[in-house]
Amino acid sequence: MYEDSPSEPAIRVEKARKHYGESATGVDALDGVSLEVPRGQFAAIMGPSGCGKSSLLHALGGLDRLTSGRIWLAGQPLHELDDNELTRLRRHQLGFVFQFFNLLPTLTVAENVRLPALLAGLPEDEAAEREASLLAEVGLDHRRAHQTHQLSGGEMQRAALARALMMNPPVVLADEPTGNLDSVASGKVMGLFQKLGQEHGTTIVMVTHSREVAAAAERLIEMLDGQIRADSRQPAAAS
Amino acid sequence: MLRLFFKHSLRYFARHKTLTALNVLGIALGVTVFIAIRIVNYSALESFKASVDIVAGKANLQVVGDGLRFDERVFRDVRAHPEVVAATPVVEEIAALADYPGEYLQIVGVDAFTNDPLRTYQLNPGRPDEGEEFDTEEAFSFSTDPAIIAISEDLAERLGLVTGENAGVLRVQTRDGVREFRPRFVYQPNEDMPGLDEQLAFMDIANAQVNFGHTGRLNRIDVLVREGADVDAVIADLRALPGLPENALVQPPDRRGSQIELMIGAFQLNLTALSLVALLVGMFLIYNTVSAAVVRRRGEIGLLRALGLSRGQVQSLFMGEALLQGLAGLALGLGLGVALAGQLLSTVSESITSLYIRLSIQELLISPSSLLAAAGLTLGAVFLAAWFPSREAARIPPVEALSLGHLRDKARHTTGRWLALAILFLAFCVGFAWISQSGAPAWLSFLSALFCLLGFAFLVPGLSLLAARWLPRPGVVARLAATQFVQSLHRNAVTIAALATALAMVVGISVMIHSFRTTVEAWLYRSVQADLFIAPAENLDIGPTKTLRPEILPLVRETPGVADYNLYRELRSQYDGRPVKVVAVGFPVAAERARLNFRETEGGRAGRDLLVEAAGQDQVVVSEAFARKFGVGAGDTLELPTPGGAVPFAVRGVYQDYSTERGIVLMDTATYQAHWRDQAHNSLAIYAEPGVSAEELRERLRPGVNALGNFLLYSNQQVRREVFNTFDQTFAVTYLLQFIGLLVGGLGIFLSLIILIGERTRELGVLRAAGASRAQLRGIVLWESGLIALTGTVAGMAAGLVLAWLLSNVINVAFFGWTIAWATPWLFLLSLPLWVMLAALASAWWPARVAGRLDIAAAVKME
Repeated sequence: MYEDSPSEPAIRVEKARKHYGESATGVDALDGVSLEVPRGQFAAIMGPSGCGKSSLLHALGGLDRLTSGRIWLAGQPLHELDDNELTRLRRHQLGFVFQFFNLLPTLTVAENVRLPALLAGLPEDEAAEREASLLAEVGLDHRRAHQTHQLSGGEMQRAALARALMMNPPVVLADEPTGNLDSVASGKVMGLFQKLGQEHGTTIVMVTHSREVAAAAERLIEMLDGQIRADSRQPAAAS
Repeated sequence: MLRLFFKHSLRYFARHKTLTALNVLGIALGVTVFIAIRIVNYSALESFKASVDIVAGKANLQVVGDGLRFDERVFRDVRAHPEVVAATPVVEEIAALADYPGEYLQIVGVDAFTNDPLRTYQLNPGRPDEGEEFDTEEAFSFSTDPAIIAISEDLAERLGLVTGENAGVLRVQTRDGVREFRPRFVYQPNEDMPGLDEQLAFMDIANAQVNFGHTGRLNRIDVLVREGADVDAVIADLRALPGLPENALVQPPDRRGSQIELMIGAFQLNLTALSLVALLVGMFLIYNTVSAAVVRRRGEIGLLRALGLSRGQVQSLFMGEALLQGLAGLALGLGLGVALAGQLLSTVSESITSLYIRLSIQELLISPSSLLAAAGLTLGAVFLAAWFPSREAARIPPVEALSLGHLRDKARHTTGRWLALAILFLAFCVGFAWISQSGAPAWLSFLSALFCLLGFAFLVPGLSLLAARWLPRPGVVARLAATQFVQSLHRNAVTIAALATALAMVVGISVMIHSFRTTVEAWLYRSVQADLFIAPAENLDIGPTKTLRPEILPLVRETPGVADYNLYRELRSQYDGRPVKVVAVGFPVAAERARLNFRETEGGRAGRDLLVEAAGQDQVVVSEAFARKFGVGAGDTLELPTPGGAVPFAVRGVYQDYSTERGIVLMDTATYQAHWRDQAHNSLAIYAEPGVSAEELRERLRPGVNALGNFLLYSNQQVRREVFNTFDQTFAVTYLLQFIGLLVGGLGIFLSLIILIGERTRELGVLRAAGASRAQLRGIVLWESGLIALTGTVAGMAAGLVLAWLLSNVINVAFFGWTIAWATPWLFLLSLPLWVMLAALASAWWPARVAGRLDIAAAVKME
C-alpha cells in the first residue's frame, strides 16, 4: 500500500495552515501545524471545539485543501495531487469513520460496507468475500442484510468502521467516532479500533474531544487555536 | 409578527436565489400561456363586437337578408311603421386593396340623410395631424363624389395613407375591375370602442351600390324602435312586409355578436383548456419546492414551534411563502403573457378567419376579468399545491424537528394509496367521456381529459418502483442511482408526474393533429377531384364572399380540353337559430366526378345514386358536423329559410366534411337557384379531358379569364396546399403551448435534481470520502435523471395516447362533430423518448456538475 520506503511515516505534515474567510478578518483554523504519525500508530487529536482538529483531519484525508503547507500520506504528497489522484488516494489509502456514521440509508449494511470496493471497481465476488469477513470481525455478520435504520448507534459505527477498512487502507481517519454513542458502545468501538489497528497494521488518526476516548490511543496530540500544544505517547488503555 | 415573517421569508428567498427564481419562472410560464390565450380570445370577441356596434349604431332592431341582399324598396315600408323612430339602409361589401396584398376594406355604405339619429361615429376631414378644419361643404362631397371614402385613422397611419383634402388614391378591387377611391375623411367613433376593426370603411350608400354592382339592393336596414313600443309586435309587422324575403331576419343587433361568440366559443375553449395544462404542470413544481423547503427547514420549524409558534402559524408561514412566490410568478407571467399575446394575435385572428368568420384583430385588449381569472387561478393553484406539504410541516412534532438526523423527509411508499386514486381518476375519465357523448354539455369532455392526466400522474409512484426494480443496473453508479431514485420517490414521483403531464399533452395533441391531418388529407384526395378551379382572387384573403362574372361560364364551356365543370355557391344561413352554411353544387357532376364519402345514406343507398336522384329535388345531404350538431340524419326532414319562405328538404345522407365545423347543407345547384333565386357562383371546378394537363388547361383559359377581372386559376394541388396551410396555421398555437408545457417539465427535472442534491449533500460527501470520483457522482445524478426521464416518458406516452384518443373521439366529436380516424405518427413517437432523454440529461448537467464539485469536508460535517 505504501509507495515509498518503510522508514517513511504514514503521515507527515509540514507547517500546515488553513485560513477561513478574508485574509484580514478570517480565522486560522490551522496555524503552522507540523506533525508525523508513524506507520501503525493509533493517534488521538484532542482539543476543544474550534481548535482545528477537524480541519486537520479533513486536510489529512484530502477532503479539504490547505492554505499553505505540505502533507504526505502513505508517501504521497497530498498538496501536489489533483482531484482524480486524491480520489484514487481515498479509494486505496484511506478509510473514514464519521461521528454520525454516515451510512447510506438506501443501502443495506452489507452494501454499505462493500461500497468502497464497488466504487474502486473491485470484482463483486472479491468485494463480497471481504465484506463478509469484515462484518464478522466487527460482530455484525448477523446484520448484513438489514437496513441501516434497524441498527443501534454502536452497530452503525461498527458497520462504518468495517466500511472504512474495506479496501484495507494503510490509514484510517476517524472524526469523533464515539461522539454520538453511549459509554458502553463507545468502549466497544474503541476496542475494535485498537484490535483492528493492530491486526491490520493500520495507522489510525482519531479526533475527539473526550479524554476517556483519547486514552484508547497510543499517542495524544492536543490542539488549541490551530496549533499543537502538547504531543505525548501514552500507554494504550484497555477499552 | 406578520412583518417579521415577511422579512424572514424574503431573506430565505434571498439566500436561495436560484431555487426561488426557478420556482417563480415555473409559475410565470404557466400564467403566461393562460393569460396570453385569454387576452387573444377577449381581443377577438371585443374586436368583433366593436365592429358590430359601430356598424349597427344606436339601432335596436335590424332587418337582415339571410346571406343575400334584398330589394331596397322595402326600406320605405320599414321607415313608415308607426313605431319606428328612425331607420337607415346599409350596404356592405368586402373589397381587396389592389396595391396592398392581403389587405382589404370592409366597406359599409350608409345613407347620410337617414342615419343621423343612429350614427355612432363622426366624419372628420382628415387625420388630426393633418390639421384640417371641418368644412360642411367638403363634407357634402361624401355623398356626391362616388370615389370618396372614410377610413379609420389607424389604417391610414399603418398604410401611410394621406387623408383629407390632399387625399391620395386608394385602388380597390371590384368585380368590374380596379376602382380608385380617395380617403377624403377619417371616421372616429363617438365613444371609445376598443378593438374596433381598422379595416372598416364608410361610403355613401348610393356610391357603394354603384361601385360594387348592388344597385337597388340592401344588406340590412338598421331600425330604431320607439322606446316603450312592443318590440315583438314590431318584429312581427316588419317580417310580414311585402317585398321582404321570407328568410330575412328581423332581430336585435346584439344577436349577431352572441352568435359569433357561440361560433368561436368552442375554438377558444379548446385553447383555454390546453393553456391550463401548463399551469397544472406548474402546480407539480410548487408542490415539490414547498415540500423540499419543509425538509430543508425542519430544524427551523422545530425551533419556531419550541418558541411557541402554533401549527396553524407554521402552515401559514409556508403557505405565505408559496403565495409570495405565486404573486411574483403572476406578475412576471402577466408581463410575459401580454408579450406572447401580441405574438399570437395575428395567428389566432387568421385561424378564426379561415375557420369561422373574417376577423381582423389589431389591438390587444386586456379585460379585468382576464386578469382576475389569471390571478385567481394562479394563486388558487399555488394554494392547493402548497397546502399539503405545508400541512405536513405543521404536523412535525417540535422534538422530532429539532433532533439531528431528520434532514431527509420520510420516503413514504404509499404506492397502494396512489394506485387506488389512479384507478378512481381513470374511472372518472371513462365516465366523463361516456357522459359527454350522451348529450351532456360538451365541456364535460374536458373533465375526462383532466382525469386522464390525473390518473396517469397518480400511477407514477408505482411505475417508478417497477422501473427501479426491473431496469438493468450495470455498475455501481447505476445501482446507487436506482436506490437513490427509489429513496427519493416522494420527490421524484412529483417531478415525473409533471414531466408525464407535459409529455401527455405533447403526445396527445401531436397524435390527434397527425390523425386529423391524415384524415383531412384522405378526405381532400377523395373530394377535390377537379383539375382546375376559378375563383375571384379576393376570396383567397376574405373567404368565399365574392362571386364569378357570368361571362366566365360560356368561356369555360367553349375552351377545348374541358371535359366537365361544376359550380359552387356558398351562403351563410341559419338553422335552428345557429349559423350554418348552405352550399350548392351540381349534383349530377358531383355524382360522376367528386367522390363524397358518405357516413350514412337513406336506406343504405350508394352515395352516387342518391346524388343523381336528389338533383333538382327538394333533397339535400348534410355534413357530419351538421348531423351531430342538430341531431339530423338520413331520412329526416329539415326546414330551411329561403327568400320564398321556409322549405322542407328531405335529408338523403350524411357525408364526411372537414371544411367547416358550422355544418353544411349541400344541395343541387338547380334546387338552390329555384328556392333562393340566386344565379351567382363563388367558384367553378373544371375537369380536364384525358390527356390534357391542368397546366395546359390553365394556359388556355388564362387570357379569357384575366380579361374579365381579377380571378385566380388554381390546380387541385394548390387547393390542397392552401387547405394544409390553413390547417397548420390553426394548430400553430398548440405547438407553442406544447413547447411551454415541455419547458416547464424540463424546468421541473432541473429544479428537482437541484433540490435532491441539496438534500443529499451529506450522502454525496460520504460517497466522495469513500472513494467516489467526481465523474461517478455526476454519473449518479445523470443516471437518476435518465430514470426520471424514462419513467416520465413511459407514463407520458401512455397518457398521451389515451389523451389523443379522447381528443379525437370524445372532445372533437363533442365540440366540432368531426370523426377523426386514428393515425400513428411512428417516427415522432419513436424519436420522442430520445429527445426527452437528451433534454433530461441536459437539464441534469448543471445539477450533476454541482454534485461533482461538492465541498466534501463541509458535506460530511454535522447536519
